[in-house]
Parts: sequence; structure tokens; C-alpha cells
Amino acid sequence: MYKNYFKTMLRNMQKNKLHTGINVIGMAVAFTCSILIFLTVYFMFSFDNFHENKDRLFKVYNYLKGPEGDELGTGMPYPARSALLTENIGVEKATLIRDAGNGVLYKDKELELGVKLVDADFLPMFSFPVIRGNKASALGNTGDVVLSENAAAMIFNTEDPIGKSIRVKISNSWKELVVSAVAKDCPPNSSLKFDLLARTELNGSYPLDKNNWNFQHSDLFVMLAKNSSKKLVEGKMRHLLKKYQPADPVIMKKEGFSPDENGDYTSLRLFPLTGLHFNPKLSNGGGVNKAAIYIVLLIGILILLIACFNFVNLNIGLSFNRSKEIGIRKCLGAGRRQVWLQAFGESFFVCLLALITGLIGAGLLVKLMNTAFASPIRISMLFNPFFLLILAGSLIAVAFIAGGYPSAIVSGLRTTEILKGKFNMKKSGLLRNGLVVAQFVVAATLICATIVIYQQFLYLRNAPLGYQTSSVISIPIRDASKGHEIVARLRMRLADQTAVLSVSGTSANLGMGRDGASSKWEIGFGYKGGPVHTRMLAADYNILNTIGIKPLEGRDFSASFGTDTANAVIITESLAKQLAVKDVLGFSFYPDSSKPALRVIGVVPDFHLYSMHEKADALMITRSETEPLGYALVKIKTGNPRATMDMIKNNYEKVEPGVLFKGSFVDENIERWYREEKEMGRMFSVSALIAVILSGMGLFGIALISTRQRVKEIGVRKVLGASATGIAIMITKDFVRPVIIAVLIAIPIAWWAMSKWLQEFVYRIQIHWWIFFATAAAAISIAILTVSFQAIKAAMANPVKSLRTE
Amino acid sequence: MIQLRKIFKWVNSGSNRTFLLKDINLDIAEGEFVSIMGPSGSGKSTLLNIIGMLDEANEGEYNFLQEAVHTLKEKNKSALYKQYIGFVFQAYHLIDELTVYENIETPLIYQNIKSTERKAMVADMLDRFNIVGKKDLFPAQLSGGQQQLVGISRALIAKPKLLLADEPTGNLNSKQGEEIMELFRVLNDEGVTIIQVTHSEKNAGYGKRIVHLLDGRIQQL
Repeated sequence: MYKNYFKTMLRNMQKNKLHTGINVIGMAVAFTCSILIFLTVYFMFSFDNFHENKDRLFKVYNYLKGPEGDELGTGMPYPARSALLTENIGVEKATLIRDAGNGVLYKDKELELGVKLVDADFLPMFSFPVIRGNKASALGNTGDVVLSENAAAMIFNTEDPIGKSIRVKISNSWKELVVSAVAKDCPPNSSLKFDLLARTELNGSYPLDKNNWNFQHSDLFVMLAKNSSKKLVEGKMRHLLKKYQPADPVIMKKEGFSPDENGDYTSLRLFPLTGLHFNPKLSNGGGVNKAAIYIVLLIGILILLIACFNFVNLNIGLSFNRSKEIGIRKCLGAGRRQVWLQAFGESFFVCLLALITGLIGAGLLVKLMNTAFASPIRISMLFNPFFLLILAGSLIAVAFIAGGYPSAIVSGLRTTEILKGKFNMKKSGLLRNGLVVAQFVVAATLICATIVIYQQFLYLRNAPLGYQTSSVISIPIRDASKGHEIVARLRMRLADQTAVLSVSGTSANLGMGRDGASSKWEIGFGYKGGPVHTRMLAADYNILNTIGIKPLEGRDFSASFGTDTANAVIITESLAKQLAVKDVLGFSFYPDSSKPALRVIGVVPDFHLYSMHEKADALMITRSETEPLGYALVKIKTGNPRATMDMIKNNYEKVEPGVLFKGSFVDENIERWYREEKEMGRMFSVSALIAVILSGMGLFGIALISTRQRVKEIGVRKVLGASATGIAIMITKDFVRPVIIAVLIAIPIAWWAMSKWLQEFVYRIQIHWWIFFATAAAAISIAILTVSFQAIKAAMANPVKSLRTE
Repeated sequence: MIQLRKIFKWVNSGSNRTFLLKDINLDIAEGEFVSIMGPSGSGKSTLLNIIGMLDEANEGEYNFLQEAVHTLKEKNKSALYKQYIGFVFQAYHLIDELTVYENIETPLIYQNIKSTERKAMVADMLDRFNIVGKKDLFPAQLSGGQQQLVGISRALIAKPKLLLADEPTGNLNSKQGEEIMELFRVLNDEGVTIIQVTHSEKNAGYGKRIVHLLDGRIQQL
């Protein structure tokens, strides 16, 4: 029986090559997309799941209810760890984690590898297995250092690293440490990553601040005791905080804070490690938005559904063409079940074919996607029981949706009626049009979303920030503590270059550089009884000139003024407003009573030191020599930017020898701020394109079937005097109507969703009506284009011929 | 073999009830060759479909080989006609995607007959109708007469007791038609009960008995 079915199917597929092609290719494209998407989502959700103790691992954070919403702080002081462990509150193990710089020296080889300072509990808490060396207490001594496999290979090549001595740069001084163990590389789905691990005690500030609760700098992770719980420990941490670091309600209130549900102004809380990846606020910027993942997942499912709908529609259309065969088979004794099985089996086979093609496609595309979206997906991740089950399940589900319904209809048809040829597509018109509407709703919504996201991205990228972004190069300085010195030397070296207009430096980068780092520095102080909040930026001479800001009053930092030392500051308009003094120029004030007064030497308009995701806040620029400068800025004027960049690179390498030059243009850095929006726009445009192509393919197939079935009607109409254009319009109209309905449904959905999305932005575009018109025009013209070819062909056909074939 | 008692068949269109068959009483014994005649729309095909169990009467009793068909469930009915009835159609109704061989084989598949047995049975049939040379051709590659020959072989492959033919020669020229009718006569002589619907007096004459239908009633001539 199956051989007979199989032969019929293959011959039928051959006969309806076009439709088989549409089905297989459409489903394969959809499977490729959704496999890639599901792999990505699976990867995201697998973050930090490999830790054996994952249910007991938490990150400690500080919670404050501020005037502008919740404020979550992850910086913890040295004594917090020992307090949590010794006060017996249900914490079994704890470790501070802190980045301590880059730099490893072995013999005469220097490498730029990051060092993380942790406590001895680190390796027992987390599941980063030690593969060589001291497994029991790898960080037992303060002189120990643990390497990742990768770091060990980079430093020692093939040598055995255990017991060897290396020099590691920790808080700007070289420490001699002994390699005690090598741990397996951190898996890509780990929030915690390290090359080198050393003890917290090595940090330069440790001896001085080990009991200072007000010096907050490190992440703190804890592992709860087996019989304890998050709630229990959080409750006990309230008392702990009251004992060691009590908050003054009067001051807190004055600064605009309010108590939480327990009545505390400040509290320590726990956040599960496994959820960290979805919490950008607590994962130091490394996390992803959970909503974004769900949107991606939804898109994957929608694309799969569009392909399914094509399959259903084409299958139903073709089944009616094949109804004669089914009728005969029933006459020859085929039972309902056998007919259903045959039809279902055929769609199952097509789905299987599509799935295999899709898998191959996904395998080929996975590299491309990894580079486009910076994700470490491997196709081998598919071969675990979970995914195989999902694949098999979705295969059967898709075959069922796509093949089951038409099969059920066909198998339920009355034999006599089929043999009389009483059935045609009209009976399924409602379902067919419903599916077409659904497809185009998805396609049109995605088109709308793409336009809005790109507009918002362009708006953010092109928004005036208040300073010059073109022709300015920013260079990350490796040794920021010597920033002022390095900038001064660079300025000297570049002084005779005509292409260089000015050189300065800042503590924070403009935009996001190639080093990917970002930092924020804020202070608050009381002034005239009111709180003053301001952001801080350390800078060097000529800062205003270099980034093209014209002062409203006063002047730039300048070497020609001997007084521009530690206490001269430039402030922005809104800070001047907060200070509320008449003659702000030359005005002195004390933000920190233990230090000398600051004197305002210039006032500048507000500008966006940080991205357009935030408001341009009050800002104070200081030239204090003791503040580190992380970035050198060079303003250039040249017809050959590449040559100038090379020239600056050569000079910089002499100023800070042995450092990898990571200079980049500020406008590129600015664009990197909006990488997320850009990636989202790219993802939406790809999915919109796929949705449109799949929907168009489906419409084309249906139009083909439908005109084939209406050949007789068209012939009769022509004989009765209908014009070719009239007939072409009549056929086209039938297919354009559901698309128009789809657009009408899609517009409010897109408007609602995109308004909601835009609300997340401080600065956002208005959604213009033309976007919807453009979407409607695009969707409808796609429909007309795909259908009209068939319509015109049918309309031009010779009626005598078509009537005779009946 | 066949007993029809007070068979009525109607369709409702709006508030009107149109009768296709009215009070049909008919007995057909095993070994008969009956021709059903009548003008277009007189209910010939409907009657044939009811006898072939492809359609159901709205009222009346139908006994086939002592089985009360009108009380049977779809499944049992299907089993009954699979075993005893073969169909021949005016438009041949061969499956376009299957070869001659496969078309003839199909009914056996639905009766769960083993592959080797099927092979022998189909080979016999091809032999008998002299179409061995055509067995790998598709229906579209055959003439009308040849297609009908395949249709008849297919109807006979499962060795039915009853052969139902709905205008079997309607699409054939007179010479081909005559050959088919001769074949029917031979089959009838071999013991197959045949009921055919036809327009042509000449073809009806091959039958041993003629039933005339007019407006859904049997005309007593």
C-alpha cells in the first residue's frame, strides 16, 4: 500500500513542480529561520545553568528607592563578605569578584589578559572544574593564581604551567604569583568569565580598606546553606546592614529617597545567578532584555506559521484538483482512514524534506549569523534529546496542521459528489482568505516595525549631541592613572603635525570605543540646603576646543593659565541652574568639605556625554591631575583620515609603548552606542523580508490554482464579451481584498506595539502616518505583482481553447 | 441477490423537495444482465449509485446478498462492496499518476492482499485482456477504448459478483463500444451479474432484462 502511495506522491509532486517547490522551499526557509532562532533562544536561556549549585548561588545587590525609580547597586565593600559569612545568616560560601586590570608577564613575554580578584570560595562555589594542579584549594594562598585553559596556553604554550611563577599586574603594580591550577575555559553561556584568578587580598587598597564599609567596588556572590532560602537570608541581611552600615533616614529623605516595603531606606538583596543574564542592571551591562528574546521567539513561530499557512492553502487547493483520484480510490475500496493516511503521509513527507533542507540551511548559515549577531551558536547544539524531541514534535505538528486539515476534508468527501466534480475551491474560500489575511498581518506588522525601528535608530544616531563627533579620534589609554602625563606627551609629539588641530583627554569615552568599555561617575552634595546631583568628567587642557563646544561664559582649560589646577571646573548650564547663583563665573563652592573649594572657570551648554537613551544631565568637568584619564582625544583636519590615523597610531605607540592601539573615530563610537537598535532593526528587516517572500509565494501558488480552476468561468465570461483587462482586474481583486483587510488589522497592532517600544526612549521619533501608507502600499503592490501575472495570463487565454478542455 | 423495496431519494433545494427516485421496487437475481434505460435526469445513475452503495437512499430497504444494507454502518458497507462489487465508469476514472499495472493493482491493495498474490492476479488480468504490452504506460498514453479496458480489468480484478457500469461506452466510438459490450456478454456468461446504465437501445439489447426509468419511477412496459 505504502509503495503505491509513495509512487503516487512522487508523480504528483513532479506534476505540480511549482507548488511542491513553493511548499518545500517555503517550509525549508521557515525551518532554517526558526532553527536558528530557537537555538539562539535556547542558548540565552541556558545561561549559567551549568553550575551544580545554581539554585543556591546569588548575587548580592543594594536596593534603594530613589527619586527617579529603583536604584540597584552591585558594588560591595570588602567587609561585607566576611560579615555575611561570620554572622551565621545562612550563607555557606561567598566571594568578591573584581576586575583588577590587564597584564601578565612570563619571562620576557607580556600579554594582555584580564585578572579577576576573587576569594578562595570562588572555585568551590561555581562549576569551573580544575583540570590540572591543586584541585582541593586552588586559591588557598594569596600568592596563588589560577589560569583558564586558554590563558595557560597563551602564556606557556606547551610548557606545564603548574608551579611556575608569573608576574601579574594588579592595581597598577606587578605581583609575583605562582600558578596553582588550570581551570577549564568558561563556557560561552557563562555570565562569569575569567582568564586569571587571584586573591582579593592582593588588591592595592585591601590593607587600607578591608574594614571600610563605605568603599564599595566589588561584585559579591554567595552560596546559601542547603537549609536556607533567599527570603530567609534577605531578612537576616536587614539586621546586618543596620549593624554595619546604617542609613540616615533624614539625609536619605532629603536626597529624595523613600523607604521600601519593609521601611528600610537601603537594603541588601539577593538575585539568582541563573537570572542574571536577563538583568542588564545587575549584570554590569552584560545582560540581555528578556522581552527581546520573547519577541525573537515570537517571530520564529510566526514565520513557521506563515509557511504552514502556505502549505495548508496550497494543499487544500491541490487536494481539490486531486479529488478525482481520491474519489476513485474510495470507489475501489479505500477507507476513510486510508485516504486520510495517504494525504497526511504526503504532507509529512514534504515537511520532512523541508526540515532536512532547513537543517542543512541552518548549518550553512550559522556562521553568518554568529558574526552578524555576535552569538556563539553551534549547530551541534541541536543534537541533544531536548532539541531532537522539539524537532520531531514540531515536524509532526506542522505536518498535522498543514496536512491534517486538507486531508480530513478530502477523506470526508462524498464519493459520488467528487466523481461528479461538484467540488471546487470556492467552498474553502473563507479559510483560505483567513489564512492569507493572517500571513499579511504578520508581514505588514513586521514591515511597519522595521521602518519605525530604523527611523528611531537613525534619529538616535544623527541627533546632535552638543559636541563635534566627526574628525575626532579617541584612543583608550591602558594606564589611565598616568593619563595626564600620556596626553601631555602625545600633545607634544603631535604639535608639529598640520593635520592635528588639538589634543586632549577624558576619563570617559565619547560613545563606545573598540575597547567596549563604559563608565559613569556621579556625585551628589548638599548646597544651600538643597541636594545637587551632577555627573563628573575628568579632562585635560583644550577639552572644549577638541570636541568643539563653545563656552557660554568663561573659557576652556588652558596650559597658559597656571591656576587651572585641581580646583578649576567647567560646568554645564543645568548645573549652573542647580547652583542658582548670579555670577557663576569665578564662583567657588565645596562639594567635599575635606577638600579645597572648586572654582568655576567656564559654563557650557548641556551636552550628551552619554547616549541618547538618557537625558543630558548636569555635568561638571574637572582637570584634577589626580583623576585618571582613560582616553586621549585628538581632533584632526585632513583629507586622508586613514593616513592620519596611522600617523597617530605610530605616535601613540611611542607614547605608551607595548600597548595595542585601539583608537577609533568618535562618530563610529557613537554608532556603537546604538548597536542594540541597529541589530534589532536588522533582525526585523530580515524577518519582514522572509515573511513577505513567504506570503507572496503562497499567494502566487493560490492564484495559480484558483485561476486554473476558473478557466471555464473565464472562458464563458470572455465569450459573453468581457474584456481581458476586466477579467484581469476581477481575478486580482479577489486576492487583493484579503491583503487590504490584513493591512487594516496590522496598522493598529503595529502602532500600538511600536508606541510601546518607543516609550522606552527618552528621545524618540513620532510615528508618522506615512509609515502606514508605505506599508499598505508595499503589501498591496506585492499582492498585485504576484497575482497579476496569473490574472493576465488567464485573461489573455483563448476562450475556445479553455472551454474545449472541459 | 438484490432487493430494493420502496426506495425514495430526494434533494431539498430551498423549500422544494425534488424527488430523484420514487418508490423503486426491484429484484435482481444472481447471474442476470440488466440494462437500465431512460432519458437524462430520470434517475438512472442515482439508482446505480445506491445499488453500488456509493450513495444512500432517503427511505426504503435495500438487501444485498441477504444483508440489510440500509442498516449497515459505513465501515461494514465499505467491506461489503469492496468484496462483491466492481465499478466501470463512462469517463474510465483511472488514476492519472499510476501506470496501467498499478491502476489494476490498486483495489487489491485495499483488500490487504499480499504482494506476490497481487502480482499473479494482475498478470492474469493483463493476459486475459491482451494488454501486457501496455502495463507500464500511463492512462494518458492510451486510447479511450484501451482505457476502458483497463477500467474493466480493474473492476474485475477482485473477482466481484456484481459489475456496475455507468454508460461504459458513452465516450467510445461504436466499434470500441461493441467490443466492450461483447466483453460484458462473455463475462455474464461466466457468471458475473451485470447492471449497466445506458442511453443506447442497441447496447441495452445486450442485457437480458431492461428496466425503464422516467422521472424517478420504474416504467412498467
